[in-house]
Amino acid sequence: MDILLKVEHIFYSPKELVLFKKNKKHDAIIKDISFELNRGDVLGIVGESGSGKTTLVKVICGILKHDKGDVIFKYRSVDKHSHPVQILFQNTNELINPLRKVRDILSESFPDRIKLDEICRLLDIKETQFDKTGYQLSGGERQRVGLARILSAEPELLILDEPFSAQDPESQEGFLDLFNKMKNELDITIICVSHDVKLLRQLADNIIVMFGGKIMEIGKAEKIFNLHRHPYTNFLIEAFNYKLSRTDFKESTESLKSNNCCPYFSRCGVRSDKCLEYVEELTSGGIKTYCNFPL
Amino acid sequence: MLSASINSVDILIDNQCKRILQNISFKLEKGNVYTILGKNGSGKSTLINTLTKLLDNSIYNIDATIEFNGINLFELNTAELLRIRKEKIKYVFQDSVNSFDNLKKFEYYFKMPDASEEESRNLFGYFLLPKKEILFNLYPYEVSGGMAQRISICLAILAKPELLILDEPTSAIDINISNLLCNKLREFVYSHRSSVLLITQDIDFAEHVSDYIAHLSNGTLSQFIKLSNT
Repeated sequence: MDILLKVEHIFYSPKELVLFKKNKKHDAIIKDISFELNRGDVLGIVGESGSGKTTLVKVICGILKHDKGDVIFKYRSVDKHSHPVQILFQNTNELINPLRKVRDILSESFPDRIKLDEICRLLDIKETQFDKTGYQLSGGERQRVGLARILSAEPELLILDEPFSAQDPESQEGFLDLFNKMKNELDITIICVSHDVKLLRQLADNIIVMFGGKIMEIGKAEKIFNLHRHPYTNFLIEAFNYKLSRTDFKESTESLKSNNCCPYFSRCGVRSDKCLEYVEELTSGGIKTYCNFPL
Repeated sequence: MLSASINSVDILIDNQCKRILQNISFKLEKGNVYTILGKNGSGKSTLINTLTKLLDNSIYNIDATIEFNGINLFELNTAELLRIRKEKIKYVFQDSVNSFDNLKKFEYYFKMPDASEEESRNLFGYFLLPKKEILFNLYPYEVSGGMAQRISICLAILAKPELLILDEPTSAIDINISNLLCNKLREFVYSHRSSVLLITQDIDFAEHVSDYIAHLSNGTLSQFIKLSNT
């Protein structure tokens, strides 16, 4: 296995700069996360809002500095001009200059016309869009042009942050096809963050399920979908099948201050007090589950 | 309950008229959830905003007749129309955060005679919102988009309108909350004999919440088709 990325026991807490005082620390948003990513794979990271998905990828690509642990890349080559990690953010309005023409944006990134034509073919960027400015493009079109700029840096790792949000189903299918095409035609490794586990199932080789800043479960995408054992993964998949009712949302007043406890304790239907102190790691059927009472 | 006949809705851009909607007619009956599906830019929001004259007359040319309980809404004066929007037809807009005045706490919006204390608390709890004492002291800028959307939905439901119109109600909320919303909307139309009209791109949500679904494409609306699973 050719490992591109190793994340080992990373923690991250946001810091608040308070004038004339030490930085005020807040509770950890990322708690003890570890995983490996093989070159050429697509890793999906799924979880509801606030689970720490975007924070995790910002730590991975260095936008945020982790407090503890290691983020280790094994790049093929690194020099002062290379940008081996690139991230495509969710907000399409900030991807490209709204006042510049697509033609100028792309020719700046791809001075070689042959490479430009290749990338436009791959990303389905039509010549009819070349004379439009950024604000004249749709969200999906801006995303494709933004992606072209990112790919001009020939990254080894591409991070996609909620690339399917705010898209209609037809556009989502289009982007799924595009990312699968990129996976097959380009020498690239992808991390895709999404709250939509059904879409990730069609793209990712492996999936991490996150909740409360921790990994709940990690494994092959199809196995996570069909053979998951963590109550939260089950909750998420039941939600996508619209099988949840209000009684499925458990509540608890227990305080979850310890980094060792299961963050899903408050909402879990199979919890016990030991879940407040430690969480077992279990491996079964190729899935790693972090739970004291797996399903 | 509501009968819409929209011959055309045009928008004036750069001194040119562009047709957005044409030849649309439909009826909404009590006790049902109606969903309009359509791609981005298909005119869904324009359609629902046409129903109670929310579009700017200086930009839009509207040729339509909208009857609500036998009354032509397009013939009402401003005061009468405002009363309809306040008491009978409620909207939940997609951009919920910006639907509120950032200088007013949420307490300001929940002063309504139709909703009891118990109803409010139950609804906040149902949608996993903070307790009333905490929520009422928050400003709109202090909450996330998803929470603002849930608060807007609570406000609309507590007013007990005859017609509840929602614009992309699942756009800012997680799938687990979408489940709660789906169940609550179905309970709402059943218990109040009201109707819900929602526009969305979320096909899964539409399939689970709707009694009838129509598609908006190229400015025209298909017939509402009854779903067999409701």
